[in-house]
Amino acid sequence: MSNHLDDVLLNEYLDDSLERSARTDVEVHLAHCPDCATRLMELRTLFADLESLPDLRLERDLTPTVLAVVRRRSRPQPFADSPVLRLIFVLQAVVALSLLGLAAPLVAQRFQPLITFQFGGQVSLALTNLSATLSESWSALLTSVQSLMTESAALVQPIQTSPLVSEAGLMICLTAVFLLWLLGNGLLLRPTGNDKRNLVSG
Amino acid sequence: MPPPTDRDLVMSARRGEVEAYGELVRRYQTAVFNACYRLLGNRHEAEDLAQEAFIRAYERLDTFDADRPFGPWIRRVAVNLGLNRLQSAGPPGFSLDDERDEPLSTPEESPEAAREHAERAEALRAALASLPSHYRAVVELRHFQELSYSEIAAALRLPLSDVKSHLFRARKLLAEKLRPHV
Repeated sequence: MSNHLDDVLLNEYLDDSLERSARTDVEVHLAHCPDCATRLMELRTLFADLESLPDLRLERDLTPTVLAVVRRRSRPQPFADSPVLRLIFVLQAVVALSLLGLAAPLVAQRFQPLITFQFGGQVSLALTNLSATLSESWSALLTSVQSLMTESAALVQPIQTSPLVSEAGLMICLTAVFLLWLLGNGLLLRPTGNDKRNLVSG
Repeated sequence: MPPPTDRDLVMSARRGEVEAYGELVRRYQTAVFNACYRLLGNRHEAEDLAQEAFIRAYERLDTFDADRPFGPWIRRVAVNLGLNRLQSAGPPGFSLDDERDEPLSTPEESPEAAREHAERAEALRAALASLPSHYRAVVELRHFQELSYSEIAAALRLPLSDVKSHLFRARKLLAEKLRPHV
């Protein structure tokens, strides 16, 4: 085969990736070598077949599916409009406000010795007054609740006997708020199917 | 009124006009599907990949230079996805769909010539499908996407010498498989 062009050279010749001088050498050889000319012709036929390979017919229109996905991804945070999520947001706010109201006197009572110990003079007096005001407000709230719930003594009784919420109750409320927060934000921030695909495909 | 150019449609799609992108999908879906089919050899997978390519391209439409032709770009997106899929699929366990697809024939051909042409095309598709995936990839990039050796080397992250040898071996295999049909 040393007198013939090798396959690499023939391929490079057809791919038009030979230097001008090498290309001329190949053409000179092909003009005098029927074997190499035949091999070149076979390769040319293959090239022509590949170039003329007809397209297969697409059996279904891809447009509706593509556009549906594109529209879905273009819409900003569709889940934020969900009524379930709105309800969770409202519940979060209600529970958080209730908890604040319930916890205020307890916090004031708990921190009063500390405040008195650390701060003296007018600051301590002001905080003591604030604590007293909060306690008075709490008592007023309890009184109004009591008057509204006179028909249900069972419900009113715990409030009457214990004006401040117990620490266990406070912890339950905190847990409820935390769970609602977790649920609300977890749902809001959960990855959609598209996001997951994006993460996978990088 | 002349139909909008690809550039017009790209610009409209960038402004959020999804229907304009739909027109681009309609124009190029057959070409993209065929590129995917040549790489994967399975109609269903090729349709899925073509869809994925159009969706991916929409998300990256801002990076596309609208002054360049859209067709080669979207085909490259599809081929790149196809190459990734071939690489992740591992060694080839590949067979062409056992479908006798009716190719798009030219209306001027006589029935006999059309049949011969279809048989030859069928044989070529089968031969392509029987190639190992790395050979199929270089053939697709060279013959159908018209990339140079160095561009193929960059796309496949292969040395130039490997690109050449893959291409030559792939062609040799194809020629051998097609010889009975000449």
